[in-house]
Amino acid sequence: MNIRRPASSVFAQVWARGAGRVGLVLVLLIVAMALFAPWIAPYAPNKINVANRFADPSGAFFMGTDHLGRDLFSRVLFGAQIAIVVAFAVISISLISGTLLGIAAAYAPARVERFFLIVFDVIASFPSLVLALAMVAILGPSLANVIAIVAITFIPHFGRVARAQVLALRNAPFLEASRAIGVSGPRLVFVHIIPNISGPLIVLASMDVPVVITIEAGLSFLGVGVRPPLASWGTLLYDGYSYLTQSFWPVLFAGLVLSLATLGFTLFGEALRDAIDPKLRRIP
Amino acid sequence: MTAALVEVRDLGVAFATERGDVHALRHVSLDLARGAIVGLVGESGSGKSTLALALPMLLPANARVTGGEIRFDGVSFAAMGERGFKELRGRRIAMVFQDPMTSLNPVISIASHLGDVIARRHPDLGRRERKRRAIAMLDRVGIPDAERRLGGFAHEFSGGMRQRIMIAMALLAEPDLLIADEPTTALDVTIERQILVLLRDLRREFAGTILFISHSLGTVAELCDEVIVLYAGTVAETGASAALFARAGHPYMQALIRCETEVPGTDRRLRSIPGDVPDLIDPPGGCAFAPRCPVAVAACRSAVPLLRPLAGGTHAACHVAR
Amino acid sequence: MRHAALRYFTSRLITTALVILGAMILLFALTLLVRGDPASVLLGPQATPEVIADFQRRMGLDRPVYERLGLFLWNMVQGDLGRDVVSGRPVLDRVIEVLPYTLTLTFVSIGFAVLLGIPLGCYAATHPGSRGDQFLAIASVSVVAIPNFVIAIYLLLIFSIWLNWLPVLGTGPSGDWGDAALRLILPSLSLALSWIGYIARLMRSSLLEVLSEPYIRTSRAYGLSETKIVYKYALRNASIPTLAILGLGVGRLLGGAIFAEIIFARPGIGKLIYDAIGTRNYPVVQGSVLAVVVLFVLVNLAVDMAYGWIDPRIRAQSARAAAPA
Repeated sequence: MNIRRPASSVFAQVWARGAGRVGLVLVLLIVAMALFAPWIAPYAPNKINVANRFADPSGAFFMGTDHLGRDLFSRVLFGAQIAIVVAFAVISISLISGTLLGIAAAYAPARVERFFLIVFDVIASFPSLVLALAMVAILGPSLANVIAIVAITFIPHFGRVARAQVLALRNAPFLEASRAIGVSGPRLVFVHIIPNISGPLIVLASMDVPVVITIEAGLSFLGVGVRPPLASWGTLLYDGYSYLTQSFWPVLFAGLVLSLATLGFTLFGEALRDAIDPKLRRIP
Repeated sequence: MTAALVEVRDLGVAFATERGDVHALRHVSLDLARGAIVGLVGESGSGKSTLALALPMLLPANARVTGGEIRFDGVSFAAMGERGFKELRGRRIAMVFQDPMTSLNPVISIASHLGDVIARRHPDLGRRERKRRAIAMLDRVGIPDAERRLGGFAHEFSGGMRQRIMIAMALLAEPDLLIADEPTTALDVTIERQILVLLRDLRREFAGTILFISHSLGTVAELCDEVIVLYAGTVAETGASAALFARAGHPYMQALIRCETEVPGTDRRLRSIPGDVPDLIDPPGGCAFAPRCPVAVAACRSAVPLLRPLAGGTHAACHVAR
Repeated sequence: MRHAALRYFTSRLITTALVILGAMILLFALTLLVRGDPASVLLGPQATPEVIADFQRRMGLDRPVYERLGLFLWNMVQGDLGRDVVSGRPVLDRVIEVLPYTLTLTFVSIGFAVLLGIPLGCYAATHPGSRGDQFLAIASVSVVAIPNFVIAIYLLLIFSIWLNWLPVLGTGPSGDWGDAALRLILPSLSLALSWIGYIARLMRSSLLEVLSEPYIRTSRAYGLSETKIVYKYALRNASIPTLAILGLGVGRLLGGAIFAEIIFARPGIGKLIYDAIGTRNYPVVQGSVLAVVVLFVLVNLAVDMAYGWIDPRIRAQSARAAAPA
């Protein structure tokens, strides 16, 4: 069973390891890019300047320009906003609804529980990206659709873990005691259960962040993610790929920043796992 | 052939832990005579298993030898090196471990376990001959229907049967020294009896030395020719089994015998020697048993007692015993 | 025991069937979410009114939802995945046509992942703390974290544009096996890299765990060579988690193959889905997504069955697990 510890000690432990430190720094960097993009960006991200197409990196354009002469550095900064917004929204939605569904499944009659599990299995049996692709294809691409759809594909993940945690917890003496003194319903769930199963769920959530960022970028790369004028890192990569023979800078920089972001969140998530619950594993 | 098979002189072994070095064995000297069954007794934590693992140099990574030497058949370990230890293992030394549940590989067949031991001892034997010997040995240690069960896996056997398989492995290695590290501790009482009977029967066929480790004095008294008593990583008393159980000199051994024999009908585990085993990170200066000893004198707390002969025919490390 | 094993097998079979049924229902439900007339959306903008009318009659769009679902499922079960609205050909034919390309890509990638990942993991586990181990630790977490489409584009950039070493795009002229194999290297590597890293890490940790087990001490006590201990006595135990993950790996790779297929301009089921989305060819999207899911589920079933073969304990365990239900 996991032991609840103050957040400060967990962060100290994350910081203590080299990989955790690199991860935390990268995560803070990416979040800062997203937060301060409007103030840092030297140009408007969608300002077209055809005269300056495929410019190499220079003092004026740190990362060069794309096929329409737009400043890549500014677009990469605003891309961080999309990545962070999508990741935060998807993880919050699937974490909250997955946890509640998981708890409900654990307390539901056996028949309902089995139904829940089969639904989780069905959703989980779709490779996330393929499911998202099928749904976006039919519902049409938009930021909101991407968030909703990716969130659905992640719900079973949290639901199963929450259920398993509750089952492991259900006969814990302190819960018996709470029930014995008449605690029930929402109070039991929110005050006694959720705080005690939150450790592994938070670890899972943080380890899912790079996966969500990858899926969002992937969908945008395939042209079924966010719509123009929004530009995700995936969009930048696809544009760069289309004009790879003219200039490789867009692909190089967009890929690099995307990779540093996923690497940073992965390292951070793993350090968090080692600090909170070393037995959890995440599959790529 | 006059010298003992194993001579241990002034051996020290320490384990590195987070709290500091644990001195599991300190200044241990003992001989294992050829062809004898030697019992090694002591409470848990007295260093029995550490000694068992030190003889074939199977100590875990965090352990290190802090001093002294071991000679096997006249050859010093210092001169052997890792290659030499490997030569000993499975050819001259074989081991039966405490827990038969975890000591056999769950995904490797019994046939492979036994076959590899035979192949190591007799590399020239063919597959069929290896199989024949394995079956004969399983039969010998009392596995019914040995031929059919040879292809089975550990989980298909009961604890007692698994320990019989471990013994079969040990015997197939035809070692000069067989170390049995509490081979019956993990088994229930009736099975324990069967395994002891098996070991006693095998005694007549097996010519080598057996080091039998146990915390049960009764078993040791029944099975062994000689006994070594360990306390807190040091040798407290050694001697011929009969002499030791008749006239133990060391107060610790006397207390152990009392625990084992007094108050019939009560649970053996409930009786114990008052006081605690000393902290081996910072062992006491004098006799390790002094803090719990009913007859300790001032010298016991300041000077480490050395093994010396007693009137009863045993050797004890005690300032008081005569 | 045999009886219990059979029961486990059938219960796994039933779950598998339920998952496939669930996937079909989900795919059907998605069409209900479509705004506007499903017929014109499903048939695409090119459809003539006659075609739409025929489609509506055939799909029974005027009937209640559950009847339409029944019809949909009935068609799917019979292997009728609908018709390509552009070419009019059965979707099943189109799927079968491109499936070999995707399967080749997926299995070659898994092959790379296993053939490179397991030895690397074994090396790291037998040399813990060495420079090689430390390098592998950094390299493997990096390749696991970096999205495979970034790896694919970088490989394309490095090997075809900068170095001009390998022919990369497409599958090459038909019949030229050597050329086809060369063209397979970069796409499959782009998919495999993260799995090489993942398997190496998994292998390292499970081998280290196994090497500290008491039964390995037994093997050491009998003087078996370190090579024999690692590769005969420990590897089999240590590869169980890896094997367990491979089923999932095939599924993820089937999904991830779409990027390799698009970036390296190869035919395949991912490319089929992608092109179908572009042309709003929904029956093709539906049919090929279902094909991917069915493949994924069947591979996982096969892997579950393979457990028992590699780990004799599971036979008993799974039998026990199946007993109560």
